[in-house]
This record gives sequence, C-alpha cells and structure tokens, in this order.
Amino acid sequence: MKQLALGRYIPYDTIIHRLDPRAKIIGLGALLIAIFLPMTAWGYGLLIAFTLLLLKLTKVKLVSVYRSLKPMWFMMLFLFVFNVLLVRSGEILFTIFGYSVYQNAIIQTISIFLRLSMMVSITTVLTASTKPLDLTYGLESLFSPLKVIRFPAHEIAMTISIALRFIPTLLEETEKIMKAQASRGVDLNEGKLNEKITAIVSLIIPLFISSFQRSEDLANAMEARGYNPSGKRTRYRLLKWANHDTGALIIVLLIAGITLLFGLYPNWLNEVLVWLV
Amino acid sequence: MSVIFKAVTYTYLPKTPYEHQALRDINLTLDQGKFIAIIGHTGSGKSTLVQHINALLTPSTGEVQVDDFVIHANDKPKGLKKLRKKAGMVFQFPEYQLFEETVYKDIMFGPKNFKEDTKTIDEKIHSIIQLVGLDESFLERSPFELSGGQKRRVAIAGILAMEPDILILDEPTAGLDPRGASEMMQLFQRLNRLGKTIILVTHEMDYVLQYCDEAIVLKDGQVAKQASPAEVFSDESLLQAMSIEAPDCLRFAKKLQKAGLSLDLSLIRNTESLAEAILQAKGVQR
Repeated sequence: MKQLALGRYIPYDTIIHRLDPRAKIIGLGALLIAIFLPMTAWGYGLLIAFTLLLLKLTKVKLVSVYRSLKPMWFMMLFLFVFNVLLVRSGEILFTIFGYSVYQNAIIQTISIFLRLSMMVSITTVLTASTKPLDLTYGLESLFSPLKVIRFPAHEIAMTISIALRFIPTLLEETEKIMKAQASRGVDLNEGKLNEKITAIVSLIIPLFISSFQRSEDLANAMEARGYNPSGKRTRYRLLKWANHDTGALIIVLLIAGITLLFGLYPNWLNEVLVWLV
Repeated sequence: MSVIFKAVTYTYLPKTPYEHQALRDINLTLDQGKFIAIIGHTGSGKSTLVQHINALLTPSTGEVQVDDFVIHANDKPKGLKKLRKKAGMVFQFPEYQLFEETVYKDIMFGPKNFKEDTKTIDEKIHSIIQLVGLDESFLERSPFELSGGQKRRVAIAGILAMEPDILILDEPTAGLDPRGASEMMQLFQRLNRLGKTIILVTHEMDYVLQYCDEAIVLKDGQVAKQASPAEVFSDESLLQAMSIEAPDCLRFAKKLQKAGLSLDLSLIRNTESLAEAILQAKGVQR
C-alpha cells in the first residue's frame, strides 16, 4: 500500500523541486497539450528526450513510472486489439488467417502508449517535486483572477488541500483495518467469490465509518476555530515568482511550441533551413 | 507454544527516501503461558515487533518461530490462517474493526473465517459475551449503537471467539475510563490463568507491575532489557535512560525502605500488596 508511486511527493532538493508550483502547473498544462496534439516523429523524439530529462532532474526512477503504468497494460492490450481490427490504412505488414494487419495499426498503438507514458511521467514529475499544499496554493493563486466572476477559488483550494491531506491518513487507516481483519482470518488474496466480497465489505464499512467520523471531527475543529470560507486570510509561506521560474517556463513553452510546430507544419524545419541558406 | 525471535530486523519502505529500520537484531524468547509486557517509547518498535508474531509483517532478515510455524525473511509463508487463529491480535482501538449488523454476527466473523462449525460457534458466543463483561441482550444489537467501551469489549470478544493460544494486545486500555481499563486488565489476567499466553503492549507501568510476569523493554528497535517487572523498575539507570517512571506504589515503597523499613520489593505489585507488606514489616497481625 505504501509503495504507491503515482502522486506521491518525494522529498529531494532538486532544481525542479525549487521551482514555483505555478510555473510547474502551467508547464504541465503546456506539455500535456503538446503531447495530445498530432505530432511527427521529430516531435516524439523531442518530447521523450525532454520527459526523460525532467525525470532525471527530479530524481524520479523509471521503475516507479513503470509501476504506475502497470494498471494500464490491460487497456493497452484492448486498444491494440481494436486498432488491429479497425485501422485499415498504410502498408499491409502481414496476414494471419486471411486477416491483414496494417502498419498504421501498430504505429497508432505505439503512439498512444508513448503519449500515455509521457503523460504519467510528467504528472509524476509535478507531484513528486511539489508538496500537495504548495500545489493547492499554486492552483488557488492561478485561479484567483476568476474570483471576479465569483469563482470560489479559495474554497476549491481548501477542499482539494483537505482531500490531499487525508489521502495518507486514509491509506494508513486502510492498512490498519486490513491488518485487523487479516488477524480475524480474512484473506484478501485467496478464497471464493463470496468470501472475497465479505472480505471487501469488512474493509469498506469500517473505513466509511471512520471517514465520516473524521470529517465530522474536522468540521467541528474548523468551526471551533471560527473558520469562515469567505474571510480574508493571510499566509505564512508566500509563493514567490523568481527569475528562474520565468526561465523554466520559457524553456517548457519553447519545447511545447516546437513540438506543436512539428505537428502542424511537418516541414517547418526544412523551410526554415531553406530560408536561412 | 513459545515465540522465538532469531536475529530479526525489519525495515519499512526499504530503498526509498522514507526507509526506516524499525527493528534491529531482535533475539527473544516469549515463554508459553506467561503474561508479558512490551514497553518502550512511541516509535521504539513495539507494534512492529508484535505484528511479527501472527505474520502480519515478515522479517527483513532473521526468522520468527511460533510453535511449529517458522517464518523466514523474504519467503511468502503459507498456512497463515492457522497461525492467525493460534495468535489472536487485538489492535489499538479495535472497535474500528466492527462491521456486521449485529454483535452476534460480528463475534462470529473470525471463527467463521476459520471454517468452524456454526453450532459450536453459537455455543461459544454465549459464554464469551459474558466473559468480556456484557450480557446476552447485547448479541442482537448493532455494534454501532454501543458506547466506546462496549464496542471494545465486543471487538475483543470477536478475537476470543477464535480461541487463540496467544493473545496479543496493542494498548487495549487506551481511551478507557479507569474502571473500564482495570476491568479489562482483570479479564486478561483471567484469560492468562486459563492458560493463554498474553503479550501486552502498553504505556501503563502500573499494569505492568500489577499483572505481568515479565517485561521486555524496547529502545530504538532493540531489546534493552528482558526481566521481571520488579527487576525492570529497580534498574534506575534504565528507567532514567528511557524516561520511564516506576509505579507510585513502588516508589513509595522505595522511600520507606530508605527510611529504614525492611520491605521485600519483589512482592509489591499494587497498593494492596504494598499495604500488606508494610503491615508485615511492622509485625502487625490482622
């Protein structure tokens, strides 16, 4: 349970860790757009290299990215089957049982796989290098201009930060209850279907009860301290935008921009070179 | 049915920035039929240690032996259900494990998992509910409408219904009122006299002195001392190092001893036995 890799903050002190969360959030957004728009082999190359560089800089191990991808294997297989059945363009690679498999089916599957892995990697870079609280402050700060149109930026940020705060607590709680029920002879891995259902019920009901209990306690504690969502609040730690944040954001936007260019005008590099010569 | 730890170490989250070695080179023998206390600071490895006894955790290195079950480091042990029936574990705040509609069904849950016959369980439940100090009218009630202390009794009844030979208790009295707590301790003493080995993790030194045969002191994941409670509480330098305070009655007796009264400290377990010892020292006949 504690080996959960995706979405976990890893306390190193790297360049990426020190960046302003807002820069990282905008950067993530830009890269995600670049990843999911059409692109060429050049674009893939550039983005993959950049993703690997980011992982290296954040000291995220490739193994942990691989682990977070594990649940997606089944989906990839599913996609592959569909692509093979439905995509009928490009050259015919080979024919089995009178059914031809086209080149584009394979290419499309690989490209979706690459995009998903990059998405997971880049999101992992953000969550591994940014404390959940900083992340919500960043979001709140980015959304605060929308307060003019009555967008509840603070309330949403508070809700998210509470939710994030309780993820480890709930995981711990789950582990505790699992152990308690395991001591009573529950086996979550083996057994018949109805035994498995009882096992899950014996886990979920106590978890629900303690979550409700916790949320009530938290609500009371907040009320006891006079929490008022619309009250004006100061903060001990302020987010400071520094020059290196601007620099990092420019680099990310350039990379995303170049990839987009590759996608939109596949020949732009040639044209620029021709123009230069 | 003794429990033997051989050079056991346990590391949480190895090879991550959160790596933490909770147990270092533990060598211990916990004898059958004894009432054993495990004491030490928060984070000294008490809970980690006891979770090895029913294989909720398996050692990173070394081995744990419970009767004829041997659990080596890094192997996926089989037949864990038998071990878990043999060594019943009551966690801190065990009321969290209740989930059935009625107290009856919840107590039945453990034995049922161990494939016991419904009729035998039914017979057991009626005696166990009284053993934990509740009456049969509770059986048809929902566990969620009970008070905190009652819930805990039900949770403990659920473990007792499995008829474990070893009962592991992780701070079973935390959050109970003094009367409920001492009733709980008397229950464990009765069970111990019925032949069950009791392993108690606790911060309550009064209970250690009053009820336990043996105390194991843990410090930074190592065994600092294994001896009788009287001996542990007379080791001044250890108490100081662990910032543990000996129970009041024992400290009072020590003061009396210093003042010239000859008392046998090993006989003092609570206020009553202290009074007894004073009377005896004074030569008063009752």
